[in-house]
Amino acid sequence: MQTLQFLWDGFVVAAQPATLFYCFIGVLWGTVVGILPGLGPMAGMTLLLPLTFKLDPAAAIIMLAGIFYGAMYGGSLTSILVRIPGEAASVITCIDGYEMARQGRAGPALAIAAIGSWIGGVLSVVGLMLFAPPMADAMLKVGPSAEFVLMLMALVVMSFVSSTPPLKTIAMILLGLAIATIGMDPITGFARYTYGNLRLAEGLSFVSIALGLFGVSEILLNLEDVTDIKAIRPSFRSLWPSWTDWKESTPAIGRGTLIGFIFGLVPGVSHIISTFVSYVVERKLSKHPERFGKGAIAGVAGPETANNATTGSAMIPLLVLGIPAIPATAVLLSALLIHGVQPGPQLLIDHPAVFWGLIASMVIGNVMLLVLNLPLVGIFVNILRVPYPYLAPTILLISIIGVYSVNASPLDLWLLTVCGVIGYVLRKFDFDVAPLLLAIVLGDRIEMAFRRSLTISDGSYGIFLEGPAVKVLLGGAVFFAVVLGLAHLLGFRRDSKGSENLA
Amino acid sequence: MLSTSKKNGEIGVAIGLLAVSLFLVLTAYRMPLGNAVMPGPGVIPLAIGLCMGVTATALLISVLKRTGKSVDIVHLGSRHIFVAVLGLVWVSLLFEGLGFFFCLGVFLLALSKEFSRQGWLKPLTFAVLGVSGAYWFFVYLLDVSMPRGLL
Repeated sequence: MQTLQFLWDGFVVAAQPATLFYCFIGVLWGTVVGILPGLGPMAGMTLLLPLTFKLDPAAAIIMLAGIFYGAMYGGSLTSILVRIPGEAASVITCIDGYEMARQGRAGPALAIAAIGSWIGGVLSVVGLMLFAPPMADAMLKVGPSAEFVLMLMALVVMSFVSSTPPLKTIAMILLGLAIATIGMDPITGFARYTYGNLRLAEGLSFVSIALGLFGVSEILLNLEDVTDIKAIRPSFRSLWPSWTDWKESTPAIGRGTLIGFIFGLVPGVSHIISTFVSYVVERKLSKHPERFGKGAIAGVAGPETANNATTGSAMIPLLVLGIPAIPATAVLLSALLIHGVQPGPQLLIDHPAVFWGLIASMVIGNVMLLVLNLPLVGIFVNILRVPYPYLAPTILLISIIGVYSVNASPLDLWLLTVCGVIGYVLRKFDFDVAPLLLAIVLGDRIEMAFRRSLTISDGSYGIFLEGPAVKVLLGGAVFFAVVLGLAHLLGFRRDSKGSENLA
Repeated sequence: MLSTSKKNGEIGVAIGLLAVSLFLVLTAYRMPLGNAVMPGPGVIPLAIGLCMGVTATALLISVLKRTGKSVDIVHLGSRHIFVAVLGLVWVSLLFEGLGFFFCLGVFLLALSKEFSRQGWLKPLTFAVLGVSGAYWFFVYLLDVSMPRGLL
């Protein structure tokens, strides 16, 4: 009953005209960045992050979250109509979605993708609403040692679920942790690697690093081959799926929701993996597996539902534990901290308007996306007609303005440039930069939890293995190991190049 | 454009990480290390440096041990990429000195001219409209503070 009251309060926050406006801007921008090849939710959120500084925390988070789940919708559009995934979680949709479009069935593919995304998104928000409060209550009772074990486990799990070999991922995590040590020591105030520079005492700018590693490096990669994009244009009349389409899609949407929700809790690139797992599950369970790859609608419905279902569950570790499960939620974490909101179990007590407002806005935002995506598909396709020679400089211009507006420091512009080049080189040699970014975000907190635990235990390292909370966390690790093992058995493999393949 | 095998690139990254780890370890010793009860600010950089050293060495060994007939060639950079990076360096160096309009206007003009390979009219129109539009949206509408420079 109390939950319903909180939810009602959340809807009161989310339904204010200004908040609705920011939610709309978020989902619209999210759809656009999802459509544009080379820009994903991560870059989309980072670009608008500086613009949220003048908003109240609830409106800022609602807008940024809108970009996050809006991009998932937008990504499917280009996968189906152009065979170019707008963002990584839509890669698998290219296979059957584009085949359907080639057969003149782009309309049903888009409609099922949008409806599946909507169902997955809304149900995962319900899951977030149900699971987050009890988890927050439990987390309030744990100490810094359990917090340290939890964050360390998040990084370890990430090492094994990343799309690149574990050694490369661990190297990136350690590099991120090293970067996080730059600035004032969080406990003693000792200046590390600052060399007398006051700007460096605050640490390196997260916005510059994130935009450089993801946004600029992506543009540099795309500049290697600038080609015109030709999209299939569906008519509005052809959108409605047939009875057979519904029959084949409904179970896939149900399973996709469950798979997406579970994988959203796993740190790393779980939103991408969930789509691959969903696709393999649908193919294994289908009466006609031979149709997969040739335009099977279940091959669109399952993965598209799964990638949107992760958006709700990925918020659970972020809001309840303060741990971003995927890179996009790292930007949300950064935004929360900038607005003076500390994510974690206290969030529900200290900032209920932010938490419940976000939940309510996700329900409203998903409805907005459904309404936006189906009738306006023709308009969105036109975005792809903007020539890349003009689009790339525009994105770089927005990045420059965004980065400079945070601290008004040219140092941040240098950081953007250097991180862009480093990100480009690392990605060319199959090093995933997402774990690096997550490690930067978690670095300070891991260090504080570690050092505080040792002070509490009088220097005994046994504290990291004691207590029920730690045992529960280790149980959780076993659970995820089983889930990942099952995913592996079902056919999700990594080849020697580190890219995902379907066995 | 620079071409190299993927293996060479990975070796380069691993060596770079080894250098970073060495730097972390050496500098950590100059910071207070504290004791077991109260670890000092040097402990974490030292631990990260050691772990990174081990990981980079393992990565280096695994890459060197990898055998295979096919050699993956990775092409690094292109004329477009060089110009884009040069543009970013230009902005980093001169944004505050030249100001929003001139610095970003030249940036947009140079990049769009290079990428589109068209005459001057379209890129010039794009640069003027782009920088004016950005100024109107960010500075006038959103009140974001930007350097005036020469103006």
